[in-house]
Amino acid sequence: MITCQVENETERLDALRRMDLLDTPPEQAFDRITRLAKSVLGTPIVAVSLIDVDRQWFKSIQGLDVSETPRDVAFCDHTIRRSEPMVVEDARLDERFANNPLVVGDPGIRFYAGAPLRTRDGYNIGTLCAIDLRPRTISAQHLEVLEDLARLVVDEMELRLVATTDSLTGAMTRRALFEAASRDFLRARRHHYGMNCAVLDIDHFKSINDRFGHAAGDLILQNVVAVCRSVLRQSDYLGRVGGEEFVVVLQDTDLQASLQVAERMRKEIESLVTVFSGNSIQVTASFGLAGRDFVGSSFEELLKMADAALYAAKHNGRNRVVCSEESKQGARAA
Amino acid sequence: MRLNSKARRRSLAQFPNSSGLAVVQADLRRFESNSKLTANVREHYEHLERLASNLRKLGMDMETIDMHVVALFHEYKAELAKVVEARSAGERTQRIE
Repeated sequence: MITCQVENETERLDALRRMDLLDTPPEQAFDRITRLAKSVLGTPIVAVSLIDVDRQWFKSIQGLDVSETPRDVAFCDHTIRRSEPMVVEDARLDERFANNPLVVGDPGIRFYAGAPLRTRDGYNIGTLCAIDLRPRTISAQHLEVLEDLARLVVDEMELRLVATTDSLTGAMTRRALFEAASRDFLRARRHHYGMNCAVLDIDHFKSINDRFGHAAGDLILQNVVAVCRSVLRQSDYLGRVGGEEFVVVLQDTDLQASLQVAERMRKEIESLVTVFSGNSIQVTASFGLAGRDFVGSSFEELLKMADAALYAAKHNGRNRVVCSEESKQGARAA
Repeated sequence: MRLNSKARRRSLAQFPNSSGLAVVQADLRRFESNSKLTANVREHYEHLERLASNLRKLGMDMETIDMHVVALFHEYKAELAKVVEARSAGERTQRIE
């Protein structure tokens, strides 16, 4: 069996997060694939299962009315550790699954066939799986069709990823960032998580472009994104919202910690040297930071506060992090 | 990655009568620099072709296979059009700024 990168769980989860599909509404494209699999394979249950930290979440499911299960009972968690499909003809006769609650209890799984959903960079983020409530076999040709359909699922996922990724820097696009941040803002408010937002703008970028050319400017943008990413955690994300303007969303953290993260990014950018056509180019960036913990009712409002703080950072000499006054007052009040 | 004109003709010929690919064709020069998008389109076709072949081996008739393949491509094409639109809008925004 070829070794997959699933043992590298952190990177696998990063790949899953990049897809930005968890907890999104059902989509016809995935439902069509699961319906076709159900029809061709003749199993009552078919699902697109994504394996998250501690759960499997179904992007599409036919024949069962659930949205997720704990990961530790998921057959698909075994499948993602393989490079080829996994087939269990009778779960009661398989010591790995004989006592599994999904086998001994509802829905009473007996047969399982799952094909890994393998991203182009080699991470198995989930499966396309077919389930029956009675023991059965599956032919090699049917299994090939399951694999074919799993590849189409990955095509759809990768296509969405292209739509959400800025082609120059690899950061999220403006639209993708706003969609994800608006969704996460509501979740943070509901569960009382902290959520902070930093807007960063590279100082005097136009003069860099004028002096060294757009190719040099593009390289600097790529390098800035790379150093910012090296500072951020898995749950944070970064989007390009303008030519040289980026937004960073920091989740489940307080204002003070976010201030430190922004300061680290600022220092990393300041010490970054981009070599282009024999020129060593250095840039700085200004940051505006705002926190959701204490004020604001939408991500747009949070962003407005961060924008105002960015304006203050530019106005006060650039190459600095400024925290919004409203956020600071809120933090003091709390 | 840049597609030369021969490769471009070949990749587009794989999807005759496809309005989604016509959208891509119109903007192809812009997207030639996006290797992920062109690779995705090409691989998707190959995956549909492989599926059609395996469904045929299972004894499914061509009419039904065509119906499934076209329906699957229709979904993909709709998403592809969104990608093209989003990227065009993003580039417009950045030019304005």
